[in-house]
This record gives sequence, C-alpha cells and structure tokens, in this order.
Amino acid sequence: MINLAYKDISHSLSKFLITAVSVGILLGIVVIMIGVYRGMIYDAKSLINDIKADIWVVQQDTFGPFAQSSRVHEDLQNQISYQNGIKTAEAITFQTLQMENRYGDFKAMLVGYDPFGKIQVINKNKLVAGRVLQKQHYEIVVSQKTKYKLGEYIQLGRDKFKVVGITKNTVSNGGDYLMFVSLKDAEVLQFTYTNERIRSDMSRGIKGENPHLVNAIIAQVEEGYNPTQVAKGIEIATHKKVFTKAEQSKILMQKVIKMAAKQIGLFTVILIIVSIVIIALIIYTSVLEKIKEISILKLIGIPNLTISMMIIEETVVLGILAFISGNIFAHLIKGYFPKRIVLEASDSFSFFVVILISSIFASLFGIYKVLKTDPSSAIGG
Amino acid sequence: MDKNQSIKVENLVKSFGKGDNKITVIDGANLTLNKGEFVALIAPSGAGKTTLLLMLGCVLEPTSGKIEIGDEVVYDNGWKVKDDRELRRKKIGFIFQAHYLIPFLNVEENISLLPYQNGESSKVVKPRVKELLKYLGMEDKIHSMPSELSGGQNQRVAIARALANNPEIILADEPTAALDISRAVSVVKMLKKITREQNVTIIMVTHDERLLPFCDKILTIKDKKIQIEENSDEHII
Repeated sequence: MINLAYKDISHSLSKFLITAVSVGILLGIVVIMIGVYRGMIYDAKSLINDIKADIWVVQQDTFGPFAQSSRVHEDLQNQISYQNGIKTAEAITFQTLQMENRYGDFKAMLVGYDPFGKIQVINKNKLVAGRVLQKQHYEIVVSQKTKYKLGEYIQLGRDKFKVVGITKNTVSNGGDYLMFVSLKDAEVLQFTYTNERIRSDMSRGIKGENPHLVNAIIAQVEEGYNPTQVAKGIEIATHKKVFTKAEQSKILMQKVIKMAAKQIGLFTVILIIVSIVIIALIIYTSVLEKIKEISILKLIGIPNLTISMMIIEETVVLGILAFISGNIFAHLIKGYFPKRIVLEASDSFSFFVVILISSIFASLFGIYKVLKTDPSSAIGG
Repeated sequence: MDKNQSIKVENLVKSFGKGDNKITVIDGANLTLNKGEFVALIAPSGAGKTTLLLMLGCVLEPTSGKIEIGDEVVYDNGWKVKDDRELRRKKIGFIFQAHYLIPFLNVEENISLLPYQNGESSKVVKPRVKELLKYLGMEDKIHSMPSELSGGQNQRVAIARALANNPEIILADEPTAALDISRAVSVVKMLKKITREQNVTIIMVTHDERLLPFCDKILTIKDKKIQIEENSDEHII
C-alpha cells in the first residue's frame, strides 16, 4: 500500500518544513504565554513559600500585605508570641522601591526582617553568593537580576547598604526583584522623611517619630498544633485578621493574580484559535493546489477515505512538527523575557493533545473540499 | 449475455435541469461493443461526448436506461452497484487529455496505486508493473518522477496506469490532444495494439480525423443518439 501523505510530504519536503516551522513560531508564542502564566503563579507563591511561617497576622478586615495595605504595630509580635500554640513570632515589612543603577532601572520589593529571628525569610537554597544578613544595620541581600555585585554599596534613603548576599529566583508576587534588609533599617527607610517634609509635618503639629508599624507579624506554630485553630484563637484575642500559609497562598491566587491570569488565559485561547485557523487555511490551500489530482484519484476509483486520510495525516504531521519547533523556539527565547517563564512538561503534553485534536479538526475543511470535489472535473478541458 | 461483450447500453437517456429548463443531451442511445475493439467517439462540441463518457465510466448517473459492463449490469434505471468507485477501480481504466499522473508519486507508484487499492499484494503488483512498463517500452523509467519525463512518456505511463487493474474497458478522453501528430499516431497505434493483445475495449474521444483509420468502429452522436459506423479503412499494424 502506498502512503499518499508520506509521498506528498517527501515530494515537497522543504516547503512543508518551512510551513511547519512558521506555524511552530506561532505555537511557540502560545507556549510562552502558558509559561508566563505559570511563571506568574510561581512568582506569586515564591515569597510565601520561602518565608517559613505558618501563620500571618495582618490588619483587621484586610487580606494581608500581598493583596492590600496592612499595618500592625511591631510590638504585636510579643502578644502573638505568648499565644497558645505559637513557637515564635516576628515582624516583617514590605516596601516597593523604584531603583536605578548603572545597568538600568527596575522595580524592587524591599523586605525588612529580623536578622536574628528564628523564622527563615531568605531561602538559603536560593543564595548563590555571600550570606544572609548578620547585622542590624547597613547590610543588604539582593536578587541576582538587580545586577549588583557582592561588596557593592547601594544608597537607600539616607544610608548606604553593603551587598552581603545575592539570591537567585527571588521575586515578589508582582515579579519585582527582592532585596532584604534588617527590620530596623526597613522602618527607618519607611518612616524617615526629607527635612522639608519633617518641617512641614512639624508646622502641622505632627511629630516625626518612628511609629513602629510593620506590615505583618509572621509566626511558627508549635509541633502538634493545628495552624487553623491557632489562627482562630489569635483572631479572637487580638482583633486582627490571621491567615494560615495555605490561606495566604489562596488569596494570592484567587484575588491578586486572578485578573492577570484571566487576561493571559484569554489571550492564550485566542492565540490557539488563530493557530488552528492558520493550520486549517494552510491545509485547505494545499487541498486546493491538489484539486486536479484529487478529482483524478476520485475518478479512477480511489475511495474518499484514502484521500481524506492523506489530508488528516498531513495535517497531523504538520501539527506535530509545528509543536516540536514551537517548543524549541519557546525554550530558545524564554531567557530574553524580563519576567519568569516556566515551561512545564505537563503543560506541553496538554498543549500537544490540544494541537493534535485541533489539527484533526482543521483538516475537516480540507476533507470537506475533497468530498465536494467532482470526479467528472478530471474529464474535459 | 454474450461472453465476448464488454459494454452494452440500452435506451440510455441523460437530461439536465427540470421543467422548462430541462435539456436532454442523450436520448435513447444504444450501443454494444465487444472485447478487444478500439472505438473512436467523435462529435461536435456540446453534442454530449463527455456526458456519454462519464455515464459509461459510472461517474455520472443517467436519467434512465441500462448499462452493462462485462457480465455485470451496473445501471438499470438506477445504480445496481453499491460502490461506483470500486466498480471503476476494478473494471474501468481512464486516460486523460493531459497525462494527469499524480506528481508526488513516481512511475511505479502511479501505476500500482489502483492494484494496491484493490487489495493486491506487492508480490503480484510489482511484476505486473514491470511487465506493463516493459510492454510500453518504459522499463528504465520505473523510478522516475512524472516531472522528469516527456509528454509522450507520461502519456504512456498513464496508459500503463489505466491497464494496471486489468479493466474491461478503457475510456480515453482525447489522449493525443497534447501531442504532435507523429506522437499521436504512435500512441493510437499502441492503444490499438493493447486492445488486441490485452483483450480490452478502448473508447477514445478524439477530434483528430487523421486518427480515425486506426479504429475498428467510429461512434458519433447525432440527434442525441449514438450512431455506430464500422471502419472499412482500418490501418493494419
């Protein structure tokens, strides 16, 4: 038996490959879009997963510092520490900065924590150079992507901070690069204003003192205690909102990145539809190019099934080659994107199934044309 | 039923349209041809040559009448075969104005396509293809692509393709239209030789009266009916 699809593809191999690679680039963009979505989820969970806290105590009636503004007093950590089931509690701050260095400008999230605290804030597995903070003042750990070097000094507010550690893959839920300083330095940065502002505040009767406000209190639960139960107890005792780590993560997924995820999801769906339409058009055009041969095949007695199988096989091969070249393209360019692109094998497999089914669907246009082709058109002029 | 009969047509009618727009192209045509006959079909444009050819080839359904191919009634006021394409695959060969070979198949594959589709094994098909190509003087071109052959060579491959399924009849639609007279005569002589040696009936549509002396019979369509004329001026091969 002669495989018509194989023969047709072999006959015009270079044209077929160019078409497949062209469609592949389009599919590569779809793969990247899925990677952007996955990257967004990864980034969103990254900081929460790195901070080894079981519960988050935040301002009452808020969803915590990742979703909205949250202010609690720093000394709340003492009250939390004495709650039943709490192993340790510490204050933490988050501050967004617009930074500029000799490599360009970037947005960063400055995390303030107690360097002598017991709760891990910097994931040591992500530390690629130097060390974590070991002093209460003027030390900073930065993300690799900020391009600062170890030992370099960074001016923040009125003070200079020495880079003592460099981390990799540390970003905020918004994708901003993370920088870590001590809680004391972070408070100074947040509440020390310019001389003009201080004078202006004084004329209004406002005392320019550090209010010792932080964004959240993070705590670890004693072994054998249920974090949800402990959180409920703290809520009643302190009149604050308390989330477990799982709840905080859920808030990030459902509230913070929900809209962005929807946006990317819709864009991905549109791109997939465009890809299917393009594959269908390519196949339909190739059928039109072969219409005389198809009418002859039908006239001499070749069944519709044999001719249709040729169309389906060619479309599926096109889809598979486009998928492979699309994935290669995506892996080649993913490093050039400023935000994280996470390409997962499971996503690739799902996308492959979608492309396979879509290719068969796209071939229906060509098959329709085959079925409609009149064999008698082969006879006569 | 005459065992020597290859095709028989009785009271064949073909009309197009309905009501006031109804046009009858063939009206009560009768025809009987025997195996091994080489027949020319000539008629002015629009007289119904292609329509007749398509009906004989079971591509176009007649309005009424009866068609027998070999010993099988294929149409009797309605199709009597379940699969018209299977019938064409097994009993009818086609040769076209241009060679119309499948461009992405080589000579061997173009010829063996139908036998393979009929379920024949490569043990049977491959020697048959070689035999046909040797018969047509093309054995050295078995692996060539159609684009590598001349017009005359391609037409010979098309003839081999038409013969590959051992058909009862071959319908040739102006097979020499694209060839010069010397090549046209060569092809027609070959077709006549085939009818004799392969015991197959060939109906050849042509406008070239110079080729008529090679045919056993000449069919014309006059007043929507088929007229058969025995050729007295037959060329001897």
